Amino acid sequence: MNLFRGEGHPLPLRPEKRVLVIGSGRVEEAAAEAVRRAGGEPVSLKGDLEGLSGLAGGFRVVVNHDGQRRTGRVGAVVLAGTPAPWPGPLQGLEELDQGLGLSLRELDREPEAGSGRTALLTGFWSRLSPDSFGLALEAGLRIMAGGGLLFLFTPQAKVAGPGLEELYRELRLRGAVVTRLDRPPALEPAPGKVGLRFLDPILDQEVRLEVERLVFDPPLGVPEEIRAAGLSLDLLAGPDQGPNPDNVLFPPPLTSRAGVFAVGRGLEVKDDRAGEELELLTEELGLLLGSGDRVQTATRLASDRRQCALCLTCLRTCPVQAIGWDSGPVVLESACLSCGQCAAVCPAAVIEPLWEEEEGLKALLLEPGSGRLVLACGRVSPETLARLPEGVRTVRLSCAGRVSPGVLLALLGRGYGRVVVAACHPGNCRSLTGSARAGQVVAEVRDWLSSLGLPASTVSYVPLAPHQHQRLLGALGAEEKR
Amino acid sequence: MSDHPKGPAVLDLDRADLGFSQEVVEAGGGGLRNCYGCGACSAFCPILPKAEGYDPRRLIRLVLLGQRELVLGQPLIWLCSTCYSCQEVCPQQVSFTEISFALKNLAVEAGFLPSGLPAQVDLLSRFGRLYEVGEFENEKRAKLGLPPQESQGGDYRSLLAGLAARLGGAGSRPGPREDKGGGGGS
Repeated sequence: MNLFRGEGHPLPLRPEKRVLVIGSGRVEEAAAEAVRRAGGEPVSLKGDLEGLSGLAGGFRVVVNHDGQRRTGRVGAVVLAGTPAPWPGPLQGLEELDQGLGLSLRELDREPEAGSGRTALLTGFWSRLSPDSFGLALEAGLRIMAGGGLLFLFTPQAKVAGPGLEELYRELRLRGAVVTRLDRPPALEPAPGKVGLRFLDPILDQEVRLEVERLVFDPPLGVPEEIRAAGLSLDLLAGPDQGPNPDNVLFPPPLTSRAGVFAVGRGLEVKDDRAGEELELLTEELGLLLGSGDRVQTATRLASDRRQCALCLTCLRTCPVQAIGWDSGPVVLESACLSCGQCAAVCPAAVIEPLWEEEEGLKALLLEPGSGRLVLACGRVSPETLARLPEGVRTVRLSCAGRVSPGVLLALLGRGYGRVVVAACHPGNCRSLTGSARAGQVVAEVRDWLSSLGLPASTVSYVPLAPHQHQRLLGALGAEEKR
Repeated sequence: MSDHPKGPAVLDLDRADLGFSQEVVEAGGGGLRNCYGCGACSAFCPILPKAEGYDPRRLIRLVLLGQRELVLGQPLIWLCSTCYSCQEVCPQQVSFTEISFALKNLAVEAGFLPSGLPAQVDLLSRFGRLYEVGEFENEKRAKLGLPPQESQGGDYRSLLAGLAARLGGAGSRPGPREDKGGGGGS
């Protein structure tokens, strides 16, 4: 975990064992148990989460409790929301006798689809996708094949998708009673059965119905506290405005949110799928808090800790907060974008990027040069660079944000007549601020050159959108003519 | 039988006969289950604005919900004028006119018959037509300068009986068209 190689001895990370568990209900309880299994100490959130900074293993959390702001240190954060209760009319579902109400997934596990009357409710709690509608229709057909009478309730008449029309038709022709409702039917007490009541949209009349079994989609409602915590933590939201599990449970390399986990999303009432997610959580937390294996590699940045000025500039500059502080700067490998902006701004010039492009830049700075040079962001398209005329030297950087005034002046000192920084469009910068920072650096250097009476146009910044090679050619050509 | 065309305030499907829709399908109301309730048939039905409670879409829905008594027992199903507008506009190829015939047949089988209908059957069997010319009509004819029309009733039953005997007892089937007894019920 420690990137700053102080005298060759890596600074050991001491992960905080306390884990903040946000949520309520049975999933929260299960998650707290999983944290204990992983060797952590669960603490539940009291108040509103206002901020999270730092790194996995040592997050600093700000909690607002009755107007009082408190800070604390936790090693990880777990969002453990019990799926939101069923919307009003189906609130009685939890009280149903065992076996009367079951989800589509539970129905799959039943050896026989059963007979008697079944009400199948689909699409009321999450948007009907062709997949989920198809699953519901197939389940309906299975129920009817078993001799059951089917009442299908759905808010949508049709969902377009391959094969769906046929399935739907088949279901109708076999005698399923399809009812389109805006809201799910209300549950009513009925001894040993499930009573349903709804306003038939065609008859404009209340209809009451008793069925032997209620089958429904998994409820995917996001609990309010989880939604709020997702916003506080700046997590990408899924279509239902809840934290997107793909970005949380399995953080992609482009986020700084390693150490934030979400479990319980999409879990069904009376479903045991939570077990799987919780096992995964235990495993991940174990790596993070226990052995620290999860966060120990340092392949992106290195520095001489003795020369570090402890100025925190790198920490403030990092666009993804991948640099944190643990009595000295530490980088979160999984979050680092390899843009090199920290190295560009470090006043002590002690941050040393370890990626491949850095070798090209180092070599460039050591050799004497002449003529025109293009420093191109790694994301500038090869086609654009291939159109450059002969004699223009091109060097790839990981990101245009890697350039610093020092680098540009050193290159001019090496003998280059023109230096063009080719960046991505600032609005499309993968490292968020890299392109814009390159623009600022170039402007700064041009100012210096002007004030020294030197031609400012020897250094320029060209932000490029795709297919804008003309712009780069123009920048090079125009400068040549002048 | 319910007098109110909308039926009870709350329709309780516990007493529903959910095999009813299958029965209607078998009686010739194929396509019934294709209905998704768009209401195109109701929009085009010429009877709907004239007769309160008559609504093809509603009838189909009641059949699908197994409301046998409610559908067969109400006089509404007899109001269809068989204009086939519903069938023309249906996007799902539901033949409501056929469903209507099926419902009428099932209603008769179940013993639900509107009171006017036996009288019409009686007229048909006595006179071979639904409308017999009498004094009232002849007065009108006289005003228009037309010769009076003699009543031809009375012997139609015996005519039919004789015909049936000639055809070898196939009395229940309609015989070849006779001059006088022609196309009953126009």
